[in-house]
Amino acid sequence: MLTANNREHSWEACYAEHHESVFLLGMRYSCGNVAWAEDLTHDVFIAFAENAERLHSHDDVGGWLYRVACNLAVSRLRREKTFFGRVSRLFRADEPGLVESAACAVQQRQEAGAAMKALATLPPKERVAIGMKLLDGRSQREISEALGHTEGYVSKLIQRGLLRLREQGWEVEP
Amino acid sequence: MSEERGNFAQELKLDDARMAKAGMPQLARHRVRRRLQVPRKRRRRFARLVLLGAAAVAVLLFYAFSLSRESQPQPLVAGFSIDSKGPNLQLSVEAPKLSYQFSVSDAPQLLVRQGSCRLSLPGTDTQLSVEGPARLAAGASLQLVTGAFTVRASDVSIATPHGIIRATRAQLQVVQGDDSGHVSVARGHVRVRIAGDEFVVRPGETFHWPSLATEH
Repeated sequence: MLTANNREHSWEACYAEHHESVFLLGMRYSCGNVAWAEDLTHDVFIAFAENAERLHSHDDVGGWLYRVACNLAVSRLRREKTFFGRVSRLFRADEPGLVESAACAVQQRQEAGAAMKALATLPPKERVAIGMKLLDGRSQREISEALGHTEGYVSKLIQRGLLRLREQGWEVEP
Repeated sequence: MSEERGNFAQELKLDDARMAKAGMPQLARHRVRRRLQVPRKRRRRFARLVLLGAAAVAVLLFYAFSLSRESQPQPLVAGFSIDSKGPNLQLSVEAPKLSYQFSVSDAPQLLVRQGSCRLSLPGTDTQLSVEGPARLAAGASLQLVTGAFTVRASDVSIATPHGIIRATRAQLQVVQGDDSGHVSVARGHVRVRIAGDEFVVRPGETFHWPSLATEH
């Protein structure tokens, strides 16, 4: 979990400390898609580089990165569902570095478990909210602050997501 | 009814732990690192999309501009008019120096492919001027005011100030002056109805009006 405090916030140090955690968030919300998680990691640290000066007085870089990662994950997941997102994915195949070798191509997706696959069936906001709650143990208040929604809306998102999972046969605790 | 799958939270945590244990693949680590060292590459991808969109818009604009240029009225060169009162008159004209399609419906359209022509819409009547021999599609109905044209027609009706000319699979030349006119038939049969009488004009014949004379 991203909780480290670091007042110096050098980009190198921050990347070294947090890139694994950010990547794992990407893997979680993309159902084990390595390329997707790479993109998310890239975007998060680009955002960090752009906001590094503002973050000098920030106490918890890990928390900031976590929030940015969750919000970017929601944005990316929602964007992918749009027509523009589908079209733009066509242009990613020739992106340098994305697929470099056969071994790399095999590594593009890690096998996700049944629960992770079920999580991937949820709409973006529900997916991320439930992941934050069940995997990171965040309270509804923390989730609402991180995603910029009201607590009531987050509660509704989680309830709806859990209901969908229950309909798929999962045992979920309210 | 869906199957029972166990406790979701526990299974999800196990999956997440498994992924965390696998960690970030070495190649992925290398790629992200490399991309972060050259962050502009991502923007280039977006720039490609923008370029593609701009090119598409440019092509559409060029096409629209070409169409608008093609449909610009050209100088009047000779005269006959088309009676556009019919609801769906379709007329296709081809000539050595002129080729275009014309249709009259709720929204009259003229597509000029080659040569010059002029189309005007004074009120409900459509004025169309052409130069050179023309071929009219079946079902066309014309009103000749003044001028001359040669036509190869399947089934057309030509209204002149003096009468109506009906042509079926014929090649003919129609000349209409201020007070008189004539039709010369090169091929096929043409029927001319004037003042309640109908005359048949055969190939090689020329029919004059208002003298109602036929010469060979």
